Amino acid sequence: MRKSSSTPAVEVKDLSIHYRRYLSKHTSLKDAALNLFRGTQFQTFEVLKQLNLTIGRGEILGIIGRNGAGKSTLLKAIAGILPPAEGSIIARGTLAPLLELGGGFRAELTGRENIFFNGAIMGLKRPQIEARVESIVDFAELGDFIDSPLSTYSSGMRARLGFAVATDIDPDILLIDEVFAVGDEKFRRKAQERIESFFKADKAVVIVSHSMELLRQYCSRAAWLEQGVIKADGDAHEIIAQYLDAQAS
Amino acid sequence: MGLAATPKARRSLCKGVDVAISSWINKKRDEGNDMTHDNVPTSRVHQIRASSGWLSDLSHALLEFFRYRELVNYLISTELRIRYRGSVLGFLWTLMNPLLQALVMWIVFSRFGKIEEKNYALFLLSGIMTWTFFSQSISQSLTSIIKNRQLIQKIYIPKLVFPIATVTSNLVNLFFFLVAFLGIAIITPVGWSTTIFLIVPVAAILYLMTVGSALLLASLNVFFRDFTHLTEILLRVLFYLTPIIYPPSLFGPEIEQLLKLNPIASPVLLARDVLYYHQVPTPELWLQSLGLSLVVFLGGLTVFTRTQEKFVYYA
Repeated sequence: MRKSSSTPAVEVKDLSIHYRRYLSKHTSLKDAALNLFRGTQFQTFEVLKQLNLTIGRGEILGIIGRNGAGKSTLLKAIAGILPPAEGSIIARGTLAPLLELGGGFRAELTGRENIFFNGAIMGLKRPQIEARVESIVDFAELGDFIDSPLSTYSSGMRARLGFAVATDIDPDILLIDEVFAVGDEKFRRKAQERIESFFKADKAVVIVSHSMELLRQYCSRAAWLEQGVIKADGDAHEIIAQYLDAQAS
Repeated sequence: MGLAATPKARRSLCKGVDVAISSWINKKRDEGNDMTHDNVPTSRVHQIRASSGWLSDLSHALLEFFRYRELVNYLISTELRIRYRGSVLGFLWTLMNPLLQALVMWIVFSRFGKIEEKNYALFLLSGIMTWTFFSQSISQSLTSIIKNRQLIQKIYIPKLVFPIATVTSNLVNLFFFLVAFLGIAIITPVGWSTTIFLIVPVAAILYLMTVGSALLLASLNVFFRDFTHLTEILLRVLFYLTPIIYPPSLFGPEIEQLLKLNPIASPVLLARDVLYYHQVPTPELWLQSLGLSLVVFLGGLTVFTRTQEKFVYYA
């Protein structure tokens, strides 16, 4: 009964993202004054070039490409972290970026405080966060550690909490950047189940991964990114085969 | 069901991570209705585009700030908590700073200075507490963007929240300074008066001015790290250019006019009028400080909102 084709979840139009690569790493006033005379000392580096992409609801899109092709940059742009130099992005619905787990954590705060802090970052109200705390703590399997400062956590605990916080919502758009390998084998299975539960619902999912096996398993569609432009876009199995062929030759 | 509304009407120009309540509402909506999903399934549409003029940058930043006000509250409370976590005396340390400074200056300048004030200690203190609020807010918010670079490179957050939360958390300190000042004033001949309540509008003016300066310096510091050092020096110089340890009339009327161009001078004079002299400030002084504060505030806000989309690339 559901029409998922009518309004796309994500529309990326003519998106360009520029990084500046400075020849000297830090700028200072002295440099700025000198640069007035000798021209600025940086190169503009186009990570994404006039990129167009539409993702419909119910679609699971895999993004493939070599290191530095702009895959993560694209996800960060959709998530609103990297403002575009040109073009526009429209995302309809609640966004859940699973980009760098625990990216919004502060080491001085306890696990519980970090849950509140992250909830506030996601724009939740206090009672909404309170309602989520129990299930997050349960899922992350942190036990009493939840009231210790994050600086005392192992990296695995941090990642588990990061995953639990980021996925304990019901997003319409899910952005995943290589975050399948979290924690030990048992937790990994649990994490995978949770991500798969998102796939079943009527959501738009974008996955960046170097694991072709994983992408073949989940994705209906794949886009091949090369040097900031989409080289090929279509059926996942076909595009992955093309990509692997090109890598082999 | 509310699905009759056009998607356009429910569209808001917002970007970023969204409020989950909308998804909750949708879940509820979906439960009661599995007809069509033709309409946009949430009340939010995030639209991100390259900058399009200062006015739209400004209004967009303010809207975003308002949407994230819960985060601002949270940042303020964690900032206060972290500041004193693990210290025994906690808030008392905040008070020690201006009190000790006032004490030292009182000893030095009442002996060697030419200032004739009956209660010079409190005269000093009224200025120093205003100044301390300003200078601490500035030095803390100066690095507020750079220090949070980990955060802004990994998650979408409206950048305005950082300097504003820092300055606002200092407002709590200002309140404690005020309580300490009144406690001391009551046991000295300075005493108590109803003009003290006028400190509320004075603090509002001071707050506007401080937020404006903080926004300006925090954004400049992202691009030129020199401002970390430069600002410390400027603050030191500005302290003496502000009539804190002396009355503005000390150097004659011409210098007095010049001193008043310093945007932090008029809040100091206002605070001193209502707290120490117990007099209602002249309309002229009110207008002047309000005007200067607004200029600084709008200037800082404009610079910040115009440059903030580059922060993530430079911080």
